[in-house]
Amino acid sequence: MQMNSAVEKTPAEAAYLVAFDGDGLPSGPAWLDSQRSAARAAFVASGLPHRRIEEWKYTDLRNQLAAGYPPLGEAPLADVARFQEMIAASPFAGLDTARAVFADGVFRPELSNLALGDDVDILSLAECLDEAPDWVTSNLGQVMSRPDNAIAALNMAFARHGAAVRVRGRQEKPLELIFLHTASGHHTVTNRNLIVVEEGAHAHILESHLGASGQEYLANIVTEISVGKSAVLDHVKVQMEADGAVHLSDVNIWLGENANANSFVASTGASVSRNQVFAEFGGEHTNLNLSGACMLAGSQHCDTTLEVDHAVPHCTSRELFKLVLDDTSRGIFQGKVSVRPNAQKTDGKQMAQALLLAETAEFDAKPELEIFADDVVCGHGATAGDLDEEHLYYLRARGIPKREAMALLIAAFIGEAFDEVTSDDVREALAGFAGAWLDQHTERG
Amino acid sequence: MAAVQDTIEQVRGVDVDKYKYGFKTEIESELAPKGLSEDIVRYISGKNDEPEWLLEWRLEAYRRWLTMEEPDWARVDYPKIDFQDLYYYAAPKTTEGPKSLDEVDPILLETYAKLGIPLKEQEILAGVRKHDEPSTLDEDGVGEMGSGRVAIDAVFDSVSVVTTFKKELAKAGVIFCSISEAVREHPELVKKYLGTVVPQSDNFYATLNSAVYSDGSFVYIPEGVRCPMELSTYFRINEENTGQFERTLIIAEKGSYVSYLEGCTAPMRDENQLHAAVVELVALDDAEIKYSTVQNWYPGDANGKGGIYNFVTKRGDCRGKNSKISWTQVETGSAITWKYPSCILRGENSRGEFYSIAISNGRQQVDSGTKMIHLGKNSSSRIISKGISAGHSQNTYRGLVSAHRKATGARNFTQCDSLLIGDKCGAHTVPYIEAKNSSSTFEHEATTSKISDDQMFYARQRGLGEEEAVALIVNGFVRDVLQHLPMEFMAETQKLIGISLEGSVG
Repeated sequence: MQMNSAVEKTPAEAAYLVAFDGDGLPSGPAWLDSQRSAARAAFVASGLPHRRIEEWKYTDLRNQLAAGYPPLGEAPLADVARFQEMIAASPFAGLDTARAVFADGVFRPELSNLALGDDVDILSLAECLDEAPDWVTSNLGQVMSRPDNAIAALNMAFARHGAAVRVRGRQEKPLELIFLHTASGHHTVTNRNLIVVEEGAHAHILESHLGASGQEYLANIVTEISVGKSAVLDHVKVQMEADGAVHLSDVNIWLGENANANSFVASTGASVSRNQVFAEFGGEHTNLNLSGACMLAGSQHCDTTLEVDHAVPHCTSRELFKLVLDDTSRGIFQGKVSVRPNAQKTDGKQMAQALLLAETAEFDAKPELEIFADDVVCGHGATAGDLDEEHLYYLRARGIPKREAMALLIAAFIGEAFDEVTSDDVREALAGFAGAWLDQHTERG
Repeated sequence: MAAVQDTIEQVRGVDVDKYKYGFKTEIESELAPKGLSEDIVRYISGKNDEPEWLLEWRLEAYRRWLTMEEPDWARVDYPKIDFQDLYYYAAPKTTEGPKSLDEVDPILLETYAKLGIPLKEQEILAGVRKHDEPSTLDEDGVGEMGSGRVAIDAVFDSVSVVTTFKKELAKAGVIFCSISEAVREHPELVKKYLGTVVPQSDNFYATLNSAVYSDGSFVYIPEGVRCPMELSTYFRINEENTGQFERTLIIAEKGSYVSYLEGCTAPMRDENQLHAAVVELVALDDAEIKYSTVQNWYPGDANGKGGIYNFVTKRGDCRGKNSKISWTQVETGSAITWKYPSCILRGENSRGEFYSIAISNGRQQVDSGTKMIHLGKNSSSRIISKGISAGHSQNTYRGLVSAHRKATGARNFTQCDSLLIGDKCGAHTVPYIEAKNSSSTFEHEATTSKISDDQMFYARQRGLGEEEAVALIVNGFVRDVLQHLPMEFMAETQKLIGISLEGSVG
């Protein structure tokens, strides 16, 4: 749906349009020019998405972005000690990982540790763009199945920094991509990552998004992941942006024959966040597992939107998302599974469950099936409700105080999603992260 | 999988060319001039002898309609409708105020005889014909449901031609007549309730209906009365290039109960015909309305030529405490179905139900579902939807379940299952779930599959033939819904499913 051009531009839209004409706009490299100008044109035509656009029915960015978020210019110099302190707060801080750190959008080699052996190439996108290796030029901007959506368009228009990772063998330890936000004032930080997992390789990528409290930035992040033939991807993302921040993320996954991909996202931060995942099956006998947990309080708004495109036969997809919603928070789940006409023997299952802890919390779900092939087994489920009184009673009858009983039940509820994470260490780290959120909340409540 | 293959082939072979209600009745009709304008609205209003307020109401709707745009969000694809190329009023000429079927054109009667639904009970028709004689059906069956007696209001193109069993219903205080008659005889009731469930300009098609609706049924069940028999309306579009726009209004006063059946057919024509109806139900405290539809409009031929465009707005308002509205629908016809019978659960402890079987074959496109809007405390709803798509058809379930902040303790259970027969068709599920308070419990489940090899193997192993096995499985698939149909419709529906999916159901 095209936005009527007569509609007045919002401050956020105006700020982006001004930036399109400004000096801060990344020009080139030449091989990206046409994609960049197409992206700008797409945004000029459509503006920010709003609730009249079906995919954005529950997240009205036009309305929710009250201020302008101009792109952040060259990042101000910041205190290394402060960054290190923030890195230590990452749930994965205790794990043995390689790290690529982006502070206010810019790669910081002095904070990073890229030692991952010969089988993994890690490049800073900003540095490699002009003389990009083939695997970057042939993949960047190509894994996108929905390049025209607003998040992706703005990202393509502004992105210069990010990580380009190629995995050619089995990764010894996980690679953590850390995005830190410390700059003040309303601004947009744009990052773009490319992850190429070559045939038979096994990639293990962690992402953490951490914001300094009090900051009101907008983080726009697009990650393109190409999983080659018989390759394996483990991808875990934790979103702990600052309370006043906006987090707009677009993850695109392409899967080759026999590939296995497992992507998990946990969200507790940001006032408004949207995680989009677009997955496309490019080869047969492929498995995809998308899962996530979302824990919200206050007036937080978190939207998870998935599109799984079964383009070829004999593939399996699983989605499991759990939401815990307190206060006046709002959790949104939109999951679409499409099965194209020839994609016989597709097996697709999806589940979204919300636990509403407060009378004023809200859960909106739109699980969607679009099926054009007959020999398939597809299903979805969605549930919403509060804690089961009987479960609580059972625990309390055994002498467990109410607060503890609630925490136990919530942890059990959310834990089902964590079970989808394959690495034991990472799963434990996530459980600790969820536990910390719960402690904070049950104490307060 | 020879059996399923066989079935698929048979279904393909059968397709929609076998539509058995595709005859046309050569009957003289009175038509309004083609096209739509304020004059046409006045013409229709004048034909029905309507009071000034209703004419104004229609004109207001018409003016609103002119400013509205046709919705395009449904998963249906059709060439743009030229609203000026339709007749908005057609009446069989011979039906100027028939008192009984005796006065009805015999050709029309023949038409009814040819129609299976729901005028199949010939003895009922006979009962009408002998309405002056003491009827054998007049035993004290009052209060006995499922006795096989059905009061019928038949709507032919634009007007209601006959209503049966009126006298007996009147004894119980039940008003069952055409809505044009209700406007004349009971204006206070019509004025009080018309447009209160589906507002005058609710959506594009409902607004069009408000402006040009010609007739329809009106039912009023007084306080505490259990309607002594099933009520039924039968709709048929006969005339070429006509649209049918009927409006049904059912009011169930406190503690009353009514079961209402609706059936529809149309002749086979190459052009598409438009049907845009509005149905409004009002259930007050402790009242219950059960509304069942068997929709079998002409679906078009195998290549998608012709067929009815069915754009219907049906909504029930559970206005009172403990009220209940139940929609049961069997959708087998129409080239395009755009229909979402909904419940507004306003009253405390009110309950809404939606049971649906939607079968599409040939080039049919179905986009149907329901809305359950929970406003009252402890309101509950249940949705069971079974979609079967075959041939080149597209079958979509689209539904909304929402609980407002004050609707504490609301409960919903939704189950949408789709069965695919053949690899050229599509089955889609688009549910919206909006929980705005924590004490509501919503459960939604959807599955899509074909008849599995295992199921077939199991049935075959026990000695069932291939066709029998398929029949058994398909019957089992729709069983949850079938059992909610009134007895009067059961046989009819099973037959219809058979016609729509001949080969699958033996």
